[in-house]
Amino acid sequence: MSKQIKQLGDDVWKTKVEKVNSELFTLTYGSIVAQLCRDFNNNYEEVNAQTYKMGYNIGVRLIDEFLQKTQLSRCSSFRDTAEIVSKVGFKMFLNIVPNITNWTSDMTTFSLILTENPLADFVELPDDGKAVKELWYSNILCGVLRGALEMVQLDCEVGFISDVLRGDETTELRVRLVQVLKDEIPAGEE
Amino acid sequence: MLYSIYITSRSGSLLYQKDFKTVNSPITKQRSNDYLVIASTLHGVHAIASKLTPPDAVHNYQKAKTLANSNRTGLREISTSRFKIFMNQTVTGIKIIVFASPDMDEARFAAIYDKIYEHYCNYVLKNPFYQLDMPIRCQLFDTHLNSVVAGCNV
Amino acid sequence: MPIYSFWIYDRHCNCIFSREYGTGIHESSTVILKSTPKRKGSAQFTPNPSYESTSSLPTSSHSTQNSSISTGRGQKLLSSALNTHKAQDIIQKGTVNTQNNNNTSKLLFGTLFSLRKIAVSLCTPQAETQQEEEFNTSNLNNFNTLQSFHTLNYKCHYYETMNGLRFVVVTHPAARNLQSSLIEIYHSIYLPTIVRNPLAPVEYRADEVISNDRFVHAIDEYWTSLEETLT
Repeated sequence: MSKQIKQLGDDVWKTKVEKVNSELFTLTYGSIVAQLCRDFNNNYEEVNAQTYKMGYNIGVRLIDEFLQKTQLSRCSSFRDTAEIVSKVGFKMFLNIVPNITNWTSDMTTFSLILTENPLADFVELPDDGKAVKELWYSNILCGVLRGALEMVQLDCEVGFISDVLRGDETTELRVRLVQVLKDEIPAGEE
Repeated sequence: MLYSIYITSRSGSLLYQKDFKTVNSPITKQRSNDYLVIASTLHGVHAIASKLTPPDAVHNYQKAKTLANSNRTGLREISTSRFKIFMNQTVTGIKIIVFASPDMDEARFAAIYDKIYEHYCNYVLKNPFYQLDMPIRCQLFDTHLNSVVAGCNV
Repeated sequence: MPIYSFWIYDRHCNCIFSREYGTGIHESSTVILKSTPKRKGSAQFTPNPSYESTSSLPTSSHSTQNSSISTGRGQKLLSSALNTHKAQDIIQKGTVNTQNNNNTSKLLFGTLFSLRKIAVSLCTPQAETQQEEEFNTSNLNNFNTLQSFHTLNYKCHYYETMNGLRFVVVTHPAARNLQSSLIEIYHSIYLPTIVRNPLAPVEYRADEVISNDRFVHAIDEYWTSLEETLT
């Protein structure tokens, strides 16, 4: 199963996805974050919230793109969801495959370890003493995941718990399944 | 031959409706309110059809060569003497409904459905000024849909 | 390709006949498969509509003796006997007129009614005079007719007569279009056993159903005689 998923991710990446220049992408995102920091007078909490919101708005749309290109149907377990997010989702849109670890025993929470992060390629956080403690630079990813999963009726909490930009050893993204929105599953599926 | 395309939101409201000018199309013009009624009726009937599955038939779908998507138990196809209606539903709950001539089959619909879905992703969802769950008024989407229809009505 | 159920609605939207069939798939097919070797080549085994499955089963010692009987004929006998057995099974595992007023019946009717309305209204031309409009919107115009709908699990075939009788059969989704069968049932079963039967009512009261034995048997026979039902 896992192998098939990986294969699918690779295929979609190779054949169906349009590629853009990564510097353009990285710099665009960088200038958005920087501008937000200026707009909110380095109130990083607010910047986090804004990038999250932007991500959410992207996620609720991007999910259809994802489903159309991958032709996937609903996952049968949250474990499958994790595999697909990592090996197909991240692969398809960012060409990275985060590692899935730190499952809680009830299988509702897992971590994605981003070994590389194209958003943060050239970034150093401002050394005002605050940014390294408060700013989650790539928070947009959390929003995207949250929005996309919500559209397939998985209500999740998504957030960073560590980031190499802050001097941590890894960049770790935590995903917790709050509930499956059963009422919203469209008719015609079990 | 393709006669019309409808797209409904996951709550059953009509997001997009278009009748195509096709020679011999049996579909006559309706009042705009009627389109809303038809869309929501199909939405409801789709769900009811799933509930009507005979107890002995609940596993038949496993053997079917399906579109790899998410309309396992809901209504898929309606045949009338003058046209057919095909429906499919995405995992997110959007329904794409196609009215076509009786000679259309499931395989050709699958190809058309895929194209429509792709254009929906590209020209509706990726349009930053389109608001989710609102009626679709996107010129680019229209143009691309027209070319899909022209391609299969040749 | 099993047939799951058969329904008739009158013009007042009442379900006047409902017939559920056992599919002969889940339990019965395994039974048949298990007992097949025993029966093979047994000459005394002849197709018989009133055949009862357990009592007339030949013993296994019997069959070993007779196994040299020409396989061609044996096979043929076997398959028709199997079919009879299966047909019996399908009929016996079903029910008659138990569903007329339950939710399934009502939902089925509602579904067909809505789909029919869509089919007709989309093909109705714009009326120019009031009288024309009245004519167009009447319940029973002929601009278009609903034939069937299907999901991946089942297919539902529909036939409506001009006077508002509706015949509905629910089958496996791979079934061919059975509308012609419904028309045939109307002509060759419903007409002789109901319409020409002076004791059958013309208008059915609420809760009144067709319980005419000849009719039920003819219907059962018709559906089980179709190739598709048994294979």
